[in-house]
Amino acid sequence: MSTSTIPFMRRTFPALSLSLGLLASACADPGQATLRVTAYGEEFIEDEIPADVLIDGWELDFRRFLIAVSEVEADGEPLAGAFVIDLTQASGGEGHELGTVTLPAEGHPSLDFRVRPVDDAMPVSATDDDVATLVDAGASLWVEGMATKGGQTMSFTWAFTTETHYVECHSTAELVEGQDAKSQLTFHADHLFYDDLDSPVPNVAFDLVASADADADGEVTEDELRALDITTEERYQVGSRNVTDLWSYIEVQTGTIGHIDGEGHCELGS
Amino acid sequence: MKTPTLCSAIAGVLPMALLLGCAFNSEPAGRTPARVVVDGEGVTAVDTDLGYHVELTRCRVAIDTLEFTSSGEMHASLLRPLWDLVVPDAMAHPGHYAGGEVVGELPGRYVFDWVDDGALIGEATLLDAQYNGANFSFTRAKVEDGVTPEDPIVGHTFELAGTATLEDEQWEFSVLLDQDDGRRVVGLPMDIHLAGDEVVELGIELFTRDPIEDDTIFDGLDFALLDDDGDHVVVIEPETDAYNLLRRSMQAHDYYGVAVL
Repeated sequence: MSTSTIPFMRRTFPALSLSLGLLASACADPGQATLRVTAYGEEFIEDEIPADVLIDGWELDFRRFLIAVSEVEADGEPLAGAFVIDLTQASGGEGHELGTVTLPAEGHPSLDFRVRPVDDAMPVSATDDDVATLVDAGASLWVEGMATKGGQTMSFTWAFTTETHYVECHSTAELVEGQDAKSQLTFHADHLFYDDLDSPVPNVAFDLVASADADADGEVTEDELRALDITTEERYQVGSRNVTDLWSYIEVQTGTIGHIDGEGHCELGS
Repeated sequence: MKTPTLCSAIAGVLPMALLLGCAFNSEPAGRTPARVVVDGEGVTAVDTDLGYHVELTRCRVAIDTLEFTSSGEMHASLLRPLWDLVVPDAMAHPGHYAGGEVVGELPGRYVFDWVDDGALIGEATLLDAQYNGANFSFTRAKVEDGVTPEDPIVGHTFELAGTATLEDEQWEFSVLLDQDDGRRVVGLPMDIHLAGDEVVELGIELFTRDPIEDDTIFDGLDFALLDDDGDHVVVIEPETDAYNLLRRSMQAHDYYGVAVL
C-alpha cells in the first residue's frame, strides 16, 4: 500500500462505516402489524345515490349489491378464501370485515384482489341465499335496485359475469409495530351509471337506461339493455372499444368500481 | 409492489445510483431525433357498408402531443429514468399508460391535413428502444395553432369534406366534427427498434378503411337520407345520429397508425 492512499482511507472509512451503519439500522427487523381488510360500498350503496348526483334527476336505491371478492393479498400475504358481500348492508361507515393479515410493520401496504365469479364463498353481511344467487348465476356482481324520478319507478336486477383483477392498490394504512391498521376495498356504484367510458369528468345518468325498457313494464332487463344501440348517442362514448350496446357498456364500467380506502386507485392486472 | 420505506428506498436507490453513475461515465443514453410527417396513404376511397363510394378531399385535424411507447415492462421501466434525464422537464411527460411506457414524444399542438401526404408535423425525440405503440390526444384548433381566425376548423377537431357516390348520384359532404378536448387515442400500432443514430421518419396514418376489420369510418352514413333538400350537398350537423356515428368512428384507434417511412 502506498503512503498516498493512507490519508484517503482515513477520510473514507469513517464515512463508509457511518453509511453502512445507517443502512443496517434502517433495515433492522421492523416487527409486525395486523392489517384488517374490509369491503365498503359507501353511502351510495348502503343508502342511495341521491337525485342531485345524477344529471337527469333520477335517484338510485339498491336492494342488493352482491359482489364476489377473492384472491385478496396485502404485500403478497394472502387473505385466504372467497367472499360474497352484500354491500347494501349498513356498516356504520366502517365497511364489512373480510379478515386480517399479519405484515411487517413498515410503510403502507399494497393490496391486490379479484372480483370474479366463484363456486363457493363465505357470506359477509350476506346470506347463504345471496351466495347461491351469485354462484347459480355464474356472476361476480349482482345489482338489484330501484330508480325513481317524480312518480316514475324503474326496477333492475342485473347479474354481471365480468372478472377484474385489481392490483397495486396502494393503501393509506400505516403499518406500525404492535398496532392494528385497516385497508378498505371500496366499491363505487355510481360508475355503473357514468355516461362516458374515458372522460375524467363523466356524468352520472339514468335516462338512457330507463329508455331501454322496451316493453314498458317498469323493469329494465339485460336483454333490453343489449337491444339498445348506443352508437348514435351523443354521450356514452367508448373510445376504441368495440362496444355498441348499453349492456356491454355497463359491463365495461363494472371493471372500474374497485378502489382502495375510498378514492385510492388500483392498476388492472391480468 | 409495496410503498417504499426508508430501508427499501436505500436498498433500491443505491444500486440504481451506482448503475446510472457507471452508465453516464461510459456513454450517454441514446436518443434519436425523428421527423414526424403526415402519412396520407391510408386515406383512400372506400366503399361503405351501405354501398357508398366515399372519397375525402379534405381531412384536417387538431391534435395535441404524440407519445411513442414501449410495451416491454422491464425495458421500459429502466428507460423511464433515462427519459427523465435526457428530456427537459417542460417537455417530458412520461407515464405508464394502457398503451405502454412513454419513451418518446412529440410535444405540442398540431393542425394538419391527412390529405397532405409527407407534410412535416414536427421533430420528435425518441430514446433508443423497441417501440410498440403511440398515443395522441384530440384538441380543438385555435388561432395560436397557426390558422387564421376565419378558418372553419377554429374551435373544432376535424374538418372533413369529400364526395359520396351511389350508383349514378353523387353528394358533396362536409362536417366540422368535435371530440372532447383531451380525449386520448391510445395504442396506435407501431413497430420499430431504435438502437443508433439512424435517420428516422415516422408517418402518422389515418385509415379510412380499418386494415384489420375492413369496416370504414363512413359506415352507417346514408348520404341520400341526409340530403333533406335534394341539392346533393350534405352538411353533417352536430346532435344528429350521423354526426355522433362519425364522431365515434373517428375516436377509435383502429383507424390510426404509425408507419416507419
